[in-house]
Amino acid sequence: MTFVTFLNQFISGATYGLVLFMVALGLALIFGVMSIVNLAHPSLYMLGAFFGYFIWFSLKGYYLSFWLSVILAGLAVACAGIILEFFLRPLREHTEQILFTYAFIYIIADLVKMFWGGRYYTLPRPPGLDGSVTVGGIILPTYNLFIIGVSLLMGALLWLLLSKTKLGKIIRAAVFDREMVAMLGIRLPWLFALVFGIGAFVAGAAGLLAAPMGSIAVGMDAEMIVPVFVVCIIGGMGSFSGALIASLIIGEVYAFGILVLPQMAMAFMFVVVVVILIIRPQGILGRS
Amino acid sequence: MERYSKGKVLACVVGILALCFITLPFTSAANAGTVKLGLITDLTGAAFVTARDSADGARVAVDRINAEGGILGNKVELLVRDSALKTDMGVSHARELILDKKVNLIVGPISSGVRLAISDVCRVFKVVLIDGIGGSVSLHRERGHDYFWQLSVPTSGESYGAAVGCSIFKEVETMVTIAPDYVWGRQEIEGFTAPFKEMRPDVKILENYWPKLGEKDYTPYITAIIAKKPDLMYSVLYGGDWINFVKQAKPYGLFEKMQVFCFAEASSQIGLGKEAPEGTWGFGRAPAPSIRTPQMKTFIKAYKEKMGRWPSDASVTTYDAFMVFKYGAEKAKSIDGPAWVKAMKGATVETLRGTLTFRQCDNLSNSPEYIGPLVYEPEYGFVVFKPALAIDTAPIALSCEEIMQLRKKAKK
Repeated sequence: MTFVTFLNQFISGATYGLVLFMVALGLALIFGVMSIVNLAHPSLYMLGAFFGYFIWFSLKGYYLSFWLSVILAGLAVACAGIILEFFLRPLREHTEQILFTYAFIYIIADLVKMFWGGRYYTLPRPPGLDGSVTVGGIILPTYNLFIIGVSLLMGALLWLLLSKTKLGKIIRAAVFDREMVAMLGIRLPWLFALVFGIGAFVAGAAGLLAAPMGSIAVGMDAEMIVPVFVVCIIGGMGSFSGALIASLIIGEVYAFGILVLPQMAMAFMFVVVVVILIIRPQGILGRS
Repeated sequence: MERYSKGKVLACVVGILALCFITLPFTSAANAGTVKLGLITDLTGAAFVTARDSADGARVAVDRINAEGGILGNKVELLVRDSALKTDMGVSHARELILDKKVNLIVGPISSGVRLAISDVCRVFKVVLIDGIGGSVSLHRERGHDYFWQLSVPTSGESYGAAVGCSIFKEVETMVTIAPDYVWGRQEIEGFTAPFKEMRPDVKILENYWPKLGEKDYTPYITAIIAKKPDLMYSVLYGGDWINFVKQAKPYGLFEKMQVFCFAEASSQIGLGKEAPEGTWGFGRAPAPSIRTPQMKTFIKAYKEKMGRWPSDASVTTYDAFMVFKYGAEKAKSIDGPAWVKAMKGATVETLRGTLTFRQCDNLSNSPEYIGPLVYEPEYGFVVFKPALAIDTAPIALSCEEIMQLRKKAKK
């Protein structure tokens, strides 16, 4: 393996891992605050890609159309997330939530097929990010570097929201003692809907941000379900920093696994899961 | 709680049974004068896009057949079943269509493995199975029989056509291949390598790359290919895989560094649109926009009007499969399997791709493989062959004697 190959693979692994991180962020937030297991979370990622594509298509030619589409797609998926949360409200047990949200994976996939058909859609990389930079003779795609930056920024913004704002304090308080927060006059249903919406927004935005690196098609959610849950579980359910570390580990193991034995790249990921869970069953930064 | 008397229960059961039997004659009457044709295709799973196009091609064919008076004066009813890439489901649907629905034809599915299993069912029940997709050569070779008809190019012909295409580039001295790591990908490279080495013994194949089907990250393959500095890259990636590869390879300038010869399957080309790389050449089974026959023009118009999008290769070949069945039924003056087979042995038919002839011994048609430079056409919004060169795949077909020997060996 040459240094060029190593560096390119490292960047590629970090990119893939941080896309997983963006999707896992929303899931970690929802689980951490509301203790809801939402198997359909990657479907929100897929919805974000589809909504975003068609918004971008309508805005094509306008300045900043891609960036506007990311925000609008995120908002559209946030609305879808809030609707999903409404249906999830009566379900307290994780098994009920798993079954219910599993059904929603198929419902969302069929709705996407119905509205947008089964073809592949592609989104060009936005102007300014569609080329590459050469560092020491090594070609690095600009968009990959952008994804690394924006996903870390998203994580930082969510962390700031939760730790430095009044809303964040309320959300954290609700994690520890819902009854107390309710007694203080804060309407928990609205709070949880907002949290779910924020989680869905992040997933939807991630869907469109990742789209220029591949294709938008039905089935892109199924590809994400296992890796995203792996990231959340080995990071520690509800932990942002844990999700970040886990996603980078998963991304790099997968990327370098392809170099070693492409057919086993997924399997290497699960070896890592087993090892981490044996050493720390609660996840890397999960609470015991 | 009310207890139900045995008499009441018996009366209910008899009543339900009577209802079933009473409605039977009406059902039969409603279906009298209807010919049922079956399409089994893989609408669930990775082949969904191709399967959907295949089903749509079938629907356009059935519309056309019914508009022209049906088959032997009988209206045609299309029955579509989803085999979901599963052999057991394909077999189950085949049996249901044949035994329960009494279909006279089955077309499909996408998966060669499922098609092999369905072929055995059709052989037993003497129902015609027309392959409109292409795929494994086993279907017409050692597992072939009178009721299986290979209308589309099998894998061997497809890869032979690609080999002819790659051999055109006289300045090429080195090349690499990249194909999805499963049966079809392996067969394509195997079928390509032998004839290509005969045509161009001067070209060295530096490496074969085998990403897994559905790979998301092509970076290691892209950087490895560029590092090898080949003159030509032969790619058999398709669908989302080819789109992902192109999008990830473009920033590395791969398409400027070497000639690329790729599987120009419609769904990925339509998906890529303007983003398809310039200067590539491709190969395909039935590139509708590039085949300039009057019948193709009519078909594209009808397809677009009904489906609202361009037809793909699968749409064309499945449409042809149903039209071939109609032709055969009219020739035989019968929709009965044995009569149809007898009438169609060695027959020449008109299809969207022009005139095709079925070989007497194994029902293999002389479908060409198409190659050509891929050029973006604003009229279509994606790249098309310009021009599309039809490559005769007959040279690669096994002789009838070889086919019979393979079948004899397989029976032992």
